[in-house]
Parts: sequence; structure tokens; C-alpha cells
Amino acid sequence: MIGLHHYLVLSAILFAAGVYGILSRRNVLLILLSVELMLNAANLSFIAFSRYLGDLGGQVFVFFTMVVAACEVTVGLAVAILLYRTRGSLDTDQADWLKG
Amino acid sequence: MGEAAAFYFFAALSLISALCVVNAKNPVYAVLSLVVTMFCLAALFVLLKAFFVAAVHLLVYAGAVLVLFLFVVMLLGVGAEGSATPAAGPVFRVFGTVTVAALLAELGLVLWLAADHFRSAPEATEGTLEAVGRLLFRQYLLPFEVTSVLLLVGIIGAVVLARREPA
Amino acid sequence: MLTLAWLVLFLPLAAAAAILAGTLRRNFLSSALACGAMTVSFLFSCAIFFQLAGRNFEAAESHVVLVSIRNFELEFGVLVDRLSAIMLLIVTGIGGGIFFYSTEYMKDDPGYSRYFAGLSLFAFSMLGIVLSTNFFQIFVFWELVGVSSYLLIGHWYQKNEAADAGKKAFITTRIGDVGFLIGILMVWSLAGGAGKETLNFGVLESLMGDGFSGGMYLTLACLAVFCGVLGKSAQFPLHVWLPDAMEGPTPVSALIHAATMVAAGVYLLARTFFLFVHSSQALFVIACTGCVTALMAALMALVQDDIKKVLAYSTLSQLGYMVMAVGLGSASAGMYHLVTHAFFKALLFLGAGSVIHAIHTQNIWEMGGLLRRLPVTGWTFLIGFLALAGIFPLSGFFSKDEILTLASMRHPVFYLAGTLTAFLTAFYMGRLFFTVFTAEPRREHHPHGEAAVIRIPLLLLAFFSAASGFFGLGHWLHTHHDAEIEWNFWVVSISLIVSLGGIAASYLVYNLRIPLPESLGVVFAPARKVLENKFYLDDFYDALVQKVQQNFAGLCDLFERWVVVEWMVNGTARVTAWSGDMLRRLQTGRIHFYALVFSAGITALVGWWVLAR
Repeated sequence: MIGLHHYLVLSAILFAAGVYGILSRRNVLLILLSVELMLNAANLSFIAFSRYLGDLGGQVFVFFTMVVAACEVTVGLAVAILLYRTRGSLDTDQADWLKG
Repeated sequence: MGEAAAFYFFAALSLISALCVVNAKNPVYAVLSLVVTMFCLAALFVLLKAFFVAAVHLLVYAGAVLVLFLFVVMLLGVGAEGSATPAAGPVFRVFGTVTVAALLAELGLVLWLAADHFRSAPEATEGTLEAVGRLLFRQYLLPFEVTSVLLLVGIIGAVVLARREPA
Repeated sequence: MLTLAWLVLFLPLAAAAAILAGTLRRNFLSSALACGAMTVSFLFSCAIFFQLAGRNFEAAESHVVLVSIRNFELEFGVLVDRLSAIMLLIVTGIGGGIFFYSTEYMKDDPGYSRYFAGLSLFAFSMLGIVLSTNFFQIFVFWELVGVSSYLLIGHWYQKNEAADAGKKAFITTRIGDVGFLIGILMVWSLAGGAGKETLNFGVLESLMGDGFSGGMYLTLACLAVFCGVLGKSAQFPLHVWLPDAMEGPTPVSALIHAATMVAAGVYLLARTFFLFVHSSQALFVIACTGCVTALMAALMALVQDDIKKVLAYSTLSQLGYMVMAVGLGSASAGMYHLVTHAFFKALLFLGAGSVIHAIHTQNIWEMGGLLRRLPVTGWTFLIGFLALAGIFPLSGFFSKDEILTLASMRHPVFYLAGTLTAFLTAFYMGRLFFTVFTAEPRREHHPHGEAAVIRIPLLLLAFFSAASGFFGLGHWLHTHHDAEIEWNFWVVSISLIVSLGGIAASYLVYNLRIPLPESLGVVFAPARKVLENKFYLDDFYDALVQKVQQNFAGLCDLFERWVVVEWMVNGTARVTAWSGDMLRRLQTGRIHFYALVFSAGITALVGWWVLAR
């Protein structure tokens, strides 16, 4: 029988994979993809909880998460384009204006 | 049994494609792998009886977000770009791996510690369009409306940022 | 009556404010404002006096509460009784005369309006002291007198000596005032011990009635309060500011030396005499101080060449008399002498001012034979001189002999010192008078005449100097705290003879110029040197400041330079800069680093949270 914890374990692994992606990639687009992965891992937990606790509120939350993710992607991609335009590259190591 | 088989199948597929996302040499492959992940997640949502969310998920992610990603990847000409390779310094990779492993271990620990709480019998609630819609337009009406403002801000922000300065 | 007292107090302040606010450029208007306010104040003071007389001189007061702390109240008010009524008349009367006199004396001064604003402020401060109902208020006005005297003495601030003299007066009196403040706090705690926390004179007096005993603490409190008197009334050893204060305009000297600032100390002693009567030790110290001051100042007056300096030392000497009288147990005798002295010393200063105004020098050896040229000044000066010397029937005779009689009743040392001072007083005043007015001039002068505004105050003051002995003031001021003084024929006649002897001696030496044997000069040369150097007190203070204070200041300077600035201030800056430099390296600008730190932080937090359960 598939229980709640099955989903939660899967969600945790996906989340960790997203974190790993952020830490190991230098391409802005890939970092954004990793963020998407993490968000969806969280979504999976929400849906799983919603199912096993019998509360549809979790699904509404997923809905909101999607809206936020969509916004994040649009703005993030705009920033990526801007970065490419000014630095000629998507490499985050090139963008070190904030170096102290 | 069918449910368990489906779960394991989609779970394994989503994990494999997720690892492809974070390890792909080429951004195009990464985006396409993420599409596969999204499909697997949608399938899992269906298994969890969240039908409406699964549908919206497919529409928004596979249909819109990832197409947008693909569009940008193509626009910026990734073919020749070498920086797609994971070239962060070795120190970062070691520390990053350790951090991720620690995080994973902790999450596992939490789940193991809290295992008892998950025994309760599942209540069958179906996330149909009607059920989610009722909730969304009654209890969560105000946050729902506020998200529209958030979206508007996101659109304006993207336009302002990506607009070419008139020479 | 109390409303009038409030008006008397605030009219001069209003005049000063109006001058400063509006009429600094209009000389006539400024002086008219100041003199007008003073005249009205004087008229009101007379009205107060007669109303008080109508009420059989029963004390009355009204006050507002400024600060109230639980059951302790700081008050501001006016107190009218015999003491303050007579002082009001003196301050506004003599002060007013000096105001009018100043309009002529300061005629061409560029700081004319400023001068009158200062005078008005001074009068306000002094009236505040006179009308004070409590220690707190009297201290406030005490300090105000210090400030306004600083302004007036330093009126010609372009002159270094004047500016320095102003500073010296202010700082020297401040030293005494610190003691005064401590004394006030001690009195407050004494009052708390006696049943009520208060600084009000009337309440204090009733608290410390007959049989009150404060022991050693009371003695210390009295001596601390007396420190304030040391400063303001220029008693030994804080008298050094007063001769220097002669750098101010002459009317200011008259004001400070006759009716106001130096009188404040004696007035304070009389006002708080109910405290002092309980401590015979404190009274003894006060009497000794007065006695030393009287004798020392009289000796120093013998060798002064400046007409105003002679009068300054004479003031010191007379103040010594008054303080000695208080110390010997009769505040009324001290106040009596204060009143008569106010008349004849104001007269003498204004006379000196008239002389200076006429011939533009202050050195008495450049004067001579002025009695013919300045008859009004000369004759009134003679009256003042005889009054000061204590010749019957002028006012000084009555007040001074009351003090001498009192001294003879107490201890022969006080009596002898007092009598010697009386002789010296007569001698140095004779020296001054004969040299300036009757002896052959050593240089020709062409003095211009005496203006009416100079003549009238002189004549009025001369009248009061001559007549005020007959008003029975000494008896009138007498309170139950004061010692009874029995008239003693021998004391009176001896002092009269001594004074006449002093005048005669000075007449022989300075008017007839009888040649003295050479050997006398040789014998007295060392003494003369000591006197000319003012007993080396100024040098002693200089050395004190230079050796002790300068070294201490140098030490403080080193401390500040190295410990405070170098170590603490610059050290703080350096540590901040260094740590900023270290922290700067954390800002790599690389997003991976930030992400790593962020994830590691979250991991650590979650780990802590999980493990803590």
C-alpha cells in the first residue's frame, strides 16, 4: 500500500536534487530550472498531505505556488536576458558586481 | 497493486529525469528532462486524486513555463555555450555535495521520526474542479484575487527588465 | 504690597529685555528705559516700605511653586520684611542715582545701550536676592549677580585688563559659590532632619527655633554657606577679584561696591542669621575672617596710587567690619553698617568718577587742588570721607562704633584690630582726600565742570551719608537673634580720637608735606613691598594655578591624547575598519557562495531543530 511517507520521501529527494542543481551549476537558466524542481517537490508534499489529511486547502496552496512560480520564472528569465545582454554570458561567475 | 506499481514507475521516472535536469550538459536537454519530470508529477497528482491540480500543472508547466524556458534557451544561442557545464570550483562541489547529503539525511530523519503520525486512515477527498473551485472562490477568494496583482507585477517587471533601451 | 514687590523685581528685567530687543541703537531711549524702570522701582519700594510700616513691619510673602517633588517644593517668590524693605530702598535708591549719574559719565561710550541693559540686569539680580523667599531662589539670583557683574566689569572688553578682571571676578566668586551650593544641600538635609524638607527662610526659622542643635553638621553647613559670602562679599582669602574689578566703568564700581554685589554676602548672612546663631564655632570663624579682611585691606589701601583702588580696598576693609559684626553675634549691626556704608561709599565712588571724568586720570599723584575746581565733588567727597572715618555726627560714626562696642564686649583682639583699622581708615582716606583735593597740584589741570546729573546724586548721597545715623536704623533692624549692644562712652571716645588722629597725621604728611626722616622710609621699605604686592596672595594664586593646576591639566591632556583619543576613539575606528575589511571578504559577489551559505544555514537550522527534539 502506498502511504503518505512514500510521497514525502520522493518529495525530499526531488528537493535535494534541486538544491544540488543550484549549488553545482553556473548557468543562470539551469539554476532557475533547479528552483522550479524544488518548488514542485514542495507541491508534491502539499498534494500528498492534502490527500492523506483530507483537506483540500493543500491543493489550493499548490495553486498559489504555481502562480508565484510563474511570476518568478518570467522575472527570472527577464533578468537572465538582461544579464546576457550586459555581460555576454549566462555564467553567474561573470556577474560579480556585488563583490566587496 | 496497480496504484503501487504506477507510483513506483512514475516516482522512478521523475527521479531519473530530475537527475538529468541537474546534470545535463546541454540546457535544452535539461529543459526537456524537466518536462518529463512535470509529466510524472502530474501523474502522481492524479494518483493522489488531485485531478484539477494535475491538469493545471500540465497546462502551466509543460505548456507555458517550460516552453518559455526553451524559448529563452534558444534565443540566447546555447549551442556554442560552454558554461552550461557544471564548472563551479571543486571546493564548491564538495561542500555542495556534503550540504545536500546532510539535508537529505535530515529530511529522512524527520520522516522516520514522524512515521507514526502517518498511520491514520486516509480520508478519500477528490480534488475535482468543483471541489477546488468552491474552496478557491469562497474561503480563499481574497488571496486568489491578490495573486492576480502579483501576476500583473510579474508581467510589468519582465517587460521593463527585458525591454531594449531605445538607442 | 506683594504685587508691588513683584513689579519692583521684574521692572528692571523688563527694561533690560526691552533694551536688548529694541533700542540697542537708540542711546537716549535705552537710558530712559533703564532709568525709568529704576525710578518706578524706587517709588514702589517706598510705597512698600510705608505699607509695611502701616502693618507694623510684619513679614509677608507670596510665592509660586516651580517644582514639586513629593513633599518638597522649589519656590519662587517675594518676601517683604524689615530687612528686605530697607535693602529695596538702598538698591533702588542708590542704584537709581547711579543709573542717572551713568547717563552723563558714559555719554560718549559706544556700548552705551549695552551698558544700561547690563545695569538693569544687575539691578534685577540684586533685587532678586533681596526679595528671595528661600535658599534656592537666592542661589539662582546669586549666580545672576555673578553673571551680570562679569558683563559690567568687562564692559570695555576690548581692554585685556577689563576682560581679565571680569573673568577673575566671575571665577573667584564661583569658587565660593560651590561651597554655598553644598551648604544649601546641607541645610536642606538639616531641615529634613528637623521635620520638614524645605528651603524657605520663614519655615526654616520656625523649624530651627530656640534650643535647636545641629551639632558639627550645622557648623559645617554654616561654613559652607559662608563660603558663598567669602566670594561675593570679597572676604579673605577670596577678596582678590574686587580690586581688579576697578577696571569696569566707575559707576559700575559704585554699584558693585556700595549697594549691591558685595552687600549681597552680608545680606545673606543677615537673612540666614537664624542658622548661624546656633553655631558659635561658625560665628567665630566668620568673625576672624572679617577681622583679618578688615585689617589687611586697610593696610593695602595705604600704598595704592589709583584713586579707585584706594576706595576698593576701603570697601574690602568695611566689608570686613560688617562680616566681623555678624560673626560677633549681631547681624543688625552688620546690616546697619552696610546701609550707611552704601551711602557714603556710593558717594565716594561717584565723586571719584566725577574727578576721573573731569581730568581723565586715576593716579592720585597727578591730581591736587581740585577742591576749588570741582567744589560740589570736593565738599561731598569730604562728607563721605568723614563719614567713612567715623567722625561724629556723620552716619559712619554710629554704625562703626556699634561694631567696635560689640567687639570690645567680646574679645580685646577683635577690638584692637577694629580700632587699628579705624585709624588706618582715617589715615588712608585722609591721604586720598588731601592729595587729590587740597594739596598743591603737581600738574596743571583744566577740568571741565560738573554736570547736573552728576551733582544731584552726589548731593543726595551726601545728605544721607551725613544724616542716616540719626534714623535709629540699628535699633530698628534689631531682631531677637542679635546680641544686645550697650553704648559705651570710652569705646566711642577712643575710636573718635583714633580717627581724628589718623586724619591729623595724614593732614601733616600729605597736605603740609612735612618731610619725614629718611630712616623711616628705609625701615618701612620691606613692609611697603609686601603691601604693594598685596601680601603676595595674587602671586600665590598664580603659582597655585601654574604649578598645580597646569601640571594636572597636562596630565589630563596626556590622558586624553593617548588613552581617550588614541586608544579609545581611534582604536574603535581601527577595530571597525579592520573588522569591516575582514567581513568584506565574505561578500564575494558569487551567487554560488551565497547559495551555499544559505543552504548550509538552512541545513544547520533544521539539523539543530531535529536534534533538539
